Amino acid sequence: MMTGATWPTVFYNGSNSPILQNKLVASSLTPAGWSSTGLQELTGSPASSFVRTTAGSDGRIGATWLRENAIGFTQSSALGWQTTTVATVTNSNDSQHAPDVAYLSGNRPVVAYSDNDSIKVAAYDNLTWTTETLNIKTGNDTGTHVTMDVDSQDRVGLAYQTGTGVYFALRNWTQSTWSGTQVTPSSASHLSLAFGPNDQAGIAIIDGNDLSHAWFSTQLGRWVSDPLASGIGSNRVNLAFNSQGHPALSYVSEGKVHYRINEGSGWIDAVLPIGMDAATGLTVTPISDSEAVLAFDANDIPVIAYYGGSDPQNPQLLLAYDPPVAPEPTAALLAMFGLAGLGLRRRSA
Amino acid sequence: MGALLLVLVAGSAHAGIPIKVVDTEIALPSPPDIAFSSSDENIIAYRHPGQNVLKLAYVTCNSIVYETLYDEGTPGFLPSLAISTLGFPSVVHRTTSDGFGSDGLRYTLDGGGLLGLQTIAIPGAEDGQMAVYAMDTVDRPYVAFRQANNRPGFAHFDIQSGQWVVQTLSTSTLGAAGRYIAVEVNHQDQPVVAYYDSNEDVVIATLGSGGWTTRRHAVGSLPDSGNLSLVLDSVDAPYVAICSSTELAVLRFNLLNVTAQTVVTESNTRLAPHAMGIDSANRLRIAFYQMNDHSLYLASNDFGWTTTLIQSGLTYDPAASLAIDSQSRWSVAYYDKTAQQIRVAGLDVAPSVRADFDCDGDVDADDLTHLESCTTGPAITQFTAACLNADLDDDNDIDMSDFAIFQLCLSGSGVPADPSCAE
Repeated sequence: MMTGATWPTVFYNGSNSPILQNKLVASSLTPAGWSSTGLQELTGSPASSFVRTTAGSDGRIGATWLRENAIGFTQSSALGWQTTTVATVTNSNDSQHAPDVAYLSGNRPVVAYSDNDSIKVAAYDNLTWTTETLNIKTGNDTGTHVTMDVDSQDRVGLAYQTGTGVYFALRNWTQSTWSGTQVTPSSASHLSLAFGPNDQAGIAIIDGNDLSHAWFSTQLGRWVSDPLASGIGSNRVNLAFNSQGHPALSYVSEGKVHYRINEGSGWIDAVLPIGMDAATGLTVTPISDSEAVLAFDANDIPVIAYYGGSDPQNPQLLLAYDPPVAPEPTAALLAMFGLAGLGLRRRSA
Repeated sequence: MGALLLVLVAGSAHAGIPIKVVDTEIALPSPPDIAFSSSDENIIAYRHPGQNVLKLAYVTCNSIVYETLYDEGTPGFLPSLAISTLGFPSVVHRTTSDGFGSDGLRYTLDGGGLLGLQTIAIPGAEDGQMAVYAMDTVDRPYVAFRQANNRPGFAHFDIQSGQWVVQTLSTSTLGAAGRYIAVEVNHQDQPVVAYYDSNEDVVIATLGSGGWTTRRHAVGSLPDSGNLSLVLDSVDAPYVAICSSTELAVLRFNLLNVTAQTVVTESNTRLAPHAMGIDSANRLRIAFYQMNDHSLYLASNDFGWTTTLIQSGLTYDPAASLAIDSQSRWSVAYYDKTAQQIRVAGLDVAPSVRADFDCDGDVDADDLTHLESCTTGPAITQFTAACLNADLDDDNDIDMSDFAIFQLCLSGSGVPADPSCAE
């Protein structure tokens, strides 16, 4: 299956699964049903795995995570999931040190992470992982909450939190020099960077319970930001661009899943219905602190994965399709699992 | 995942077209379907009645690898095969008594190590039969089939609900007892269904954003046991091949009208749903059975229609299925009732020398490099799938005795190897 474009693959913690218990699980929806694979044991503390995902140009999916001081990486292939350890780190296993992943040209995976607050980037050359430490002239090259994407010119972009705010760094992978700039002097508890199809960069920023979207204004020559929401329950967000270059993101706030997209005339907020979905019989209300991760499929249809259901103590992982069009979101029940790290592959820029 | 078995089957030439035996002891008629992998490897789906399984055969110039796709109940009637962009085969077939509650159409996905081997009943296609299957550029499956009430049915997997959706395309019934329905996908990723209905029309139905649009063309009475075959050319014009009582003809549905070409003026010709292919230069290829002389032919329209004998002496409709590879080379898979075999004919299956590992016709240093890389030593079993073809003496290890056979076959670069070198 062309899992990187047509069929969704969801990564989650199978904490309550009788078969995939305490494993990081990749589940792909196919016409023959869901196909699930346990990728990594998640025993020990903490229970979360802080997964982030990406898709290659040939439909392959890559995912990276932090687990017991090791940066893990897996990618799909016709032979199955290929899993390896990228590096070991000395920092604590928490979300602010979670890695991020993207593909360079030729589907070479590149992983960014924070190792004891040093920002590092590891690229795989089909033989070994080559790691380098971010070094920019401004000196703002240590931090946490690193997020990464690669643009169409093979330039690696990083966004990360330092002691003086959020910074953006860029480097052409064939050259050795990084350039950097401050995005905002505010702090962040979660960041998500993505390049659009025209290589425009956007950063979704969660600061406490506030969500904003930062973008680089060529007119002003600096980063600007749009406040989007406050009081959100999600502590993570995925920024994604559709093929038209419109940025979009999703999150849970006050018991509802919000899908926001900027189609050129400002941000539109579409709220997914809650309660019983008549088409599926599922209770599609999200649990209050669920994440709501977003990706676009090959036809630009937005897909949102989140935890919901009628029992907050035993939530279900749900997929919702095309919320702004369908009056009732068509939701597909994946399985019944506990809340943990969640990632949905996102469409490559 | 079904068990894999590596078998080498000697080829035999007929009428200048290489023919290879794919499987044997097929006592009952078993129409196969064929497709090419992204690496131009022949993949053939068929039911093996004796083994009571739905099988895949991966056919290369010097090997055939078998895989059991489904063995529940009585599986695999009239399989229809498609290959995904990642190279995963999937088959729609009719299966009975397999515990799904009702007999009918099944979808089997061989997702390899990534997605596994899975079979589901297609909901709403209970008692469906005679399915034809196609896939669009992003791997969405479309199935056209004969419903229990003989109406044309259509099934697709709706990703938004995660469910298969089945529709009835017409209140008219299909025209005769044959399959008479086919589906392809155009360049806009819209499914196009062709069927022959009880009004004696060939109907083209296209699913666009506004729903189904249909065109029809009167063709008169067609034989009860026949089929039609559908392809789309580079501008998405549908070609439909039909066998009437007097000829094998191809209809082209143009923008404003329908034009017909006579392929052969013969009565008693027969087609399978995937009997027709079209290459990148819009050249048609049709495999058809001539009942009058019991022969299987290939019809080509390079510069007008010409026919080439593939095999004579057939005593039953071979239900030949045709596929065209990335280099515009065709292969035809068919059933030989006399020999009780599934066979494949075409240039991609040319008989070769076992030591010609890279299938380039010679045995040279490139082949030696493969042998050396696979060497295990005496009595050490070689388990690597890509190296199993280096076991030239079939004793499971790759050692000096294999090298000795290799030396007998060594011809040098560009020099055709002797097919009998290892005997």
